[in-house]
Amino acid sequence: MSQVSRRGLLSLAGAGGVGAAAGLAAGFLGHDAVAEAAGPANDTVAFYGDRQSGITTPAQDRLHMAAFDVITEDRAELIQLLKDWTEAAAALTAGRETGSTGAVGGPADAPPEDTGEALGLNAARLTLTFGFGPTLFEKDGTGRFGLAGRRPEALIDLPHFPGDGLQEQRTGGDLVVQACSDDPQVAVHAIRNLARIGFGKTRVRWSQLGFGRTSSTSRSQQTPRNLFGFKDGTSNVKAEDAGLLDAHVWVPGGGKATEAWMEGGSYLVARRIRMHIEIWDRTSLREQESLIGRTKAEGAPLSGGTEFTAPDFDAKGPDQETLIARDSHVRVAHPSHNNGVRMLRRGYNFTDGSDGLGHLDAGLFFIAFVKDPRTHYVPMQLAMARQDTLSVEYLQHTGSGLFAVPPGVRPGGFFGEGLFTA
Amino acid sequence: MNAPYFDRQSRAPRGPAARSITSALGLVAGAVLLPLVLTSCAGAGVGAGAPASPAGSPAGNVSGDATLQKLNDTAAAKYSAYVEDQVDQLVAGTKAFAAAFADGNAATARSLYAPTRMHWERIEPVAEAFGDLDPKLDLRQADLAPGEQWTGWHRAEKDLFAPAGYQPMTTSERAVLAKQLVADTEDLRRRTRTVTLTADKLGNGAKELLDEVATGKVTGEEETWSHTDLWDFQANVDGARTAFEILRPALQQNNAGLATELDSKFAALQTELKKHAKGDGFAYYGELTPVQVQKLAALVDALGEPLSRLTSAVVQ
Repeated sequence: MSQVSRRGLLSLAGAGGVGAAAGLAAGFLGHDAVAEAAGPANDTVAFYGDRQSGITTPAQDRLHMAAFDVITEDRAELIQLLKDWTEAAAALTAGRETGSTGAVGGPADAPPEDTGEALGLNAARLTLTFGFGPTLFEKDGTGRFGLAGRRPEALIDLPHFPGDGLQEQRTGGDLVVQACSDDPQVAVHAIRNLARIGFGKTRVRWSQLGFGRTSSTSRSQQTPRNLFGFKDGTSNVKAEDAGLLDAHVWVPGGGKATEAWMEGGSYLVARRIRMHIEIWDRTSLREQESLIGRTKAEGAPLSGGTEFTAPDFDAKGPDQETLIARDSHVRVAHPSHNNGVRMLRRGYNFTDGSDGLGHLDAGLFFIAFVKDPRTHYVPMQLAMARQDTLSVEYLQHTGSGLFAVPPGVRPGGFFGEGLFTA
Repeated sequence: MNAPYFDRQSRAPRGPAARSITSALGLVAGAVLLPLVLTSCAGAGVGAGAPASPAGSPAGNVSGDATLQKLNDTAAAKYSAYVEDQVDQLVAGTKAFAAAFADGNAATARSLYAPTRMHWERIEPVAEAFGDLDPKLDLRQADLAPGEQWTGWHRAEKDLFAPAGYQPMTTSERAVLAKQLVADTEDLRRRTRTVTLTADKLGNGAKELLDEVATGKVTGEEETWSHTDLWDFQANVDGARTAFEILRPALQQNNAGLATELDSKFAALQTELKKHAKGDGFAYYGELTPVQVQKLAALVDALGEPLSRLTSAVVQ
């Protein structure tokens, strides 16, 4: 791969040095990683490690996620693709050009290897996170790539949830790549180059841009707002909560031998949630706050306190009604009403133009990482689809995907290597 | 009379068809000389003494390797013969089509429309090099600038495969269009006889033919009314594959792996396309399901990436 940084910094030695710096920046030590990530020295996130980056990494500002269909049935070709992607990802996340000759170093008669739009840009904390969809393992009842017996039980076909309006062209996929960066051009450049490397083996099934994060994954970050104008993810699992991560996000060891390759990985749930924002904007502030169960300004629960005060679902007002409505979003989604389960949310706001009827096609691209979607996503989503008035009246799920995200990569290895060995 | 046609910088591109003229199979004008009769037997006069590349384009066909140069010269001569043959068939087919169209024999004209155009589509980058002829012959209605006169194949297409509410052409309008179509095609034949091809032009032309498939045919945009896009699709692939086959000796020498890859990607695309063959032709574009179109598009991309490396592999 190209050893030259897009900003001209030699990074032969930098691979280790930059990684170490990024490890500090993203080191979950409770200090402000975002502020630290300002200069070129610490604008990279460590690529190699026990876990994939882009999960507990402090959520970057922009997203480009793409799901791919694998169009070859050749196992060796699939493995080669994963190796090629891994090599390219190592270069991209370090702010280097892809290929041995990069964007402008190749022969004049050949198309450049790297597409070039990131020249001059630093890595902007780019992370690339890879996952495998159910249809990589089997399709229409037939095993693929010799992987039929290797599909983890937790990698289910998500059930139909009430109110779903899923569009085929925004749903599913054999492979997924989540690119997050503080610079949208860097994220798009990464997906574009990976897609290009994949031609002949993969085709892009869907891709989604997110322009602003809606979750914090570190206590160093401010809680951002979603397109309803409310703070989102206040009670998200954070990078600093090691115990919660083990309990709710990381796949534990000691499972079935055929699933050992997932130890230290996670499951990525992606849902494209269209918000009827024009209708929402005509809703009174009182009604908006009641639907959410929190104040709009501060994000404090309606039972009192400040943003991070635990909600009191039993607290009653003078009218003897609970201060937090029974059908409010915060109550229906709260761990105390969902068998104590938590998820690490990492979603993004999106707008994809307009819908032809004078409305913005906008909403939340929901991303969550959980240890098992059967316990940590499906029950909550079923409850929300039935009881959460916010979901029923103001949201529609238009795209969906579930992916097994293998653990991290060691130098010389490749994503999902354990799935193809032993 | 050739010189003006190669003054490319001065010609403002109009519409998608014209947009690609700059790179085309890119003929180095026979600015020199003329009746360079190219036959399939060998590189009579091609290559070595050929005029320099157009201004601003780095000479791609330079190689210190004499063997390679010879292989490439032979390839250029062979492709010239292919172009000559296709243009001859195009002229003959166009005459028959134009006669039927002018006579109001719509059924015959409709049946000749797609098969005849295949000869055009096989060598489209060559034709596109003549910046004025391409729009005259192949402009789609959507490509027209305000006030621009619309002639050529697609004007006839709309009359033959008329949409609802369409006002048919009069007999005399059809006669004028038919006459112009034949005259422009004969002009094309005359001019293609005077061009000199080089290996890099073949490689780039092959890539451009596949680009045409990717942006115009697999999307169903080329044949708005007749929906005979798959005929064009096949013809573009034919032209690209012929260029590849002709360049194979040089490619084999320089990058055998790429030759193998192109073989398999061409074969995969051809196999899929063949599934839509019907009678002497193909299914209409509208008969394809979205899934079938996606499959074709993925195979076009699969071929397009390695094909984009053909030129540098043969001129290195």
